[in-house]
Amino acid sequence: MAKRKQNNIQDFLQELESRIEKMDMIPRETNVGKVLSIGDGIVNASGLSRAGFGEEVEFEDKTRGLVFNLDEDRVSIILLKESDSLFEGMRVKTTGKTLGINVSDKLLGRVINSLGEPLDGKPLKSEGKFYLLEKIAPGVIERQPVDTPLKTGIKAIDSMTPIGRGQRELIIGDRNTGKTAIAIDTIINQKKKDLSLPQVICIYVGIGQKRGNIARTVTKLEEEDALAFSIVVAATASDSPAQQFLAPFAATAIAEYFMDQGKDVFIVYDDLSKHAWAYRQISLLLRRPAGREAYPGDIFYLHSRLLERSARMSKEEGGGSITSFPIIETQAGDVAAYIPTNVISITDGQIYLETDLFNAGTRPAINAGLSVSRVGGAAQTGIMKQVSGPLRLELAQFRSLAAFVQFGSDLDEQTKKQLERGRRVAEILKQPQFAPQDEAQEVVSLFAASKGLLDDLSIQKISAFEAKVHEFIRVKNKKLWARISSREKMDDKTIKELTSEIENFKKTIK
Amino acid sequence: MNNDLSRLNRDLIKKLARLTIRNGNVDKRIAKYVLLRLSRKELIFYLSALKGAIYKNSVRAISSQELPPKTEQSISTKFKDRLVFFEQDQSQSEGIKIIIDDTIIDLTVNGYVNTMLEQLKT
Repeated sequence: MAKRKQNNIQDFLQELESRIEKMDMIPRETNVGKVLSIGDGIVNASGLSRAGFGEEVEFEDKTRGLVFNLDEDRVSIILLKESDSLFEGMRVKTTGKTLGINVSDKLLGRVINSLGEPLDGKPLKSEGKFYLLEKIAPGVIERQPVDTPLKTGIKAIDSMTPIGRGQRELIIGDRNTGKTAIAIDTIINQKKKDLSLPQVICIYVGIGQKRGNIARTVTKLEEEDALAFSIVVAATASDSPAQQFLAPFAATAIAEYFMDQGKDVFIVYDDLSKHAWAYRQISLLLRRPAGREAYPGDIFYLHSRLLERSARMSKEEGGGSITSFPIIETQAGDVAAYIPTNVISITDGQIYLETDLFNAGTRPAINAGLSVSRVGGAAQTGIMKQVSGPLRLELAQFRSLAAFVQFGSDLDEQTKKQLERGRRVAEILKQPQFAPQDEAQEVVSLFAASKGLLDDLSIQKISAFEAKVHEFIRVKNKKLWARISSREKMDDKTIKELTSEIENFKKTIK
Repeated sequence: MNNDLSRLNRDLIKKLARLTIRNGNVDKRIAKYVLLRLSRKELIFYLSALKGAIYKNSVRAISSQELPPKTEQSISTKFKDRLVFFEQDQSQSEGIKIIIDDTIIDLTVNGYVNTMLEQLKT
């Protein structure tokens, strides 16, 4: 015990010695200023003539701030933390540092704020590498096209709007339509390492949310053993707008640390509407000119520069990736509002969730017609493409027919068949929360519905069918299950075999 | 004339403040003229601009003890285009602190220790 203590002291002294040796003792110039006014988390200061935009400043009471406006004879600073000890005339000095965060593997499993400080009550040493919060997104040469799937475990998404590693897919919808649920399910699904793909590191950024909601998310991730490969960055509604504004940038900096190591990262920005509100609040307090819906003129650039940092890097750059799910909350289904249209145009597709579908019991309440994935198709496996090809069309036809049928009852046989098939496809796409499926399970379910194998089964029995059919085939025909899990397109023999297994199983539940 | 002065914008007030300084000293005639004619709001801005103009053209060398003439000479030569004020502050630790406008070069023992501590912390 005593020897270990002695070793620790020796290590500490050695570290101290090496740090002192490396020190740059040339005196530095410090640029100072004086606080002119304070209010709403904004400080105006005179002096600081050499302060740079985005530079960190320090007040006499050690409060930190960020230079956000440079005027001719004054600068405006946003406070990174609330402070009661600031007063007019207090000295403030530049630090020469741009805002950044210390990142290391030790952040995994932790809940932190925008400044990298722990919020989960456990100690966190600030060690590792220093990553800047603001960074220019990777260039064209450094990237490679999206070609590897990121499985969400949600049938409706993996089949109709597939996601690739490095993609930015917007989740959009009104309040209480299951936006966060999709994101959390996707995080939970990453523990499966489906299709033998490398582990994905997940980062959940809560912006302007209730503390209770963040706590619930953390507990759920912990329960599902998903926290070990996840990081939660939280800037709740009670935190300052500056912290809310910085949270997604801090999370992206952490993601870049892992991406630079060649790892795949998945980020959820929950949600960017509140992020835009926080930025609008800061901008209005700084007296920047207000534009449409009172947002500042650079609100598009704010989100585009953030989401451009999600990328799939080339092999020469390590081959890592950042996949992002920005979330946008619409008001009364208005997707044509300012922020939704901005983010729709920035991202590589969107998953549109509808209140009516949600209330009708379709969960996830994905509107197949308005949801799209622009690049994910390239990342979809051959087998998934094979079974999901006709699905989207069938579902769209069913929705339009269902709306039309409300006005009349005389239907021809073909239309009736189409309606029945559509109902079954819609039913099979329903999935409970926190129950992501692996690809083989998804393939079996979708195959059964799209091939019409469920047409003779009553809709009430479909969930019971799905609950047991996977286990039935997996146990009874291991070779077939292995072939389905192999990503490859099914040949005629496999199709026949799978059809007969499904038919056999149906007999047991009829 | 009073009306003219009240219509002065910030740039003109700044120019006025710069003109008030002549050879490192405040020109009392201009200062008196301005003080009598500017409104309260303009006067606040004028005084802050005047303070800035004085600092812009000067250097303050603060030490705990009186500096040897040779050191004073060397500092004056270094900042020959500015007016150098040598001040004494007993509360300051050994060394010199040089203040140029809003920039401080801290060459005191305290300053070195603080720099060292900051670097150790990061």
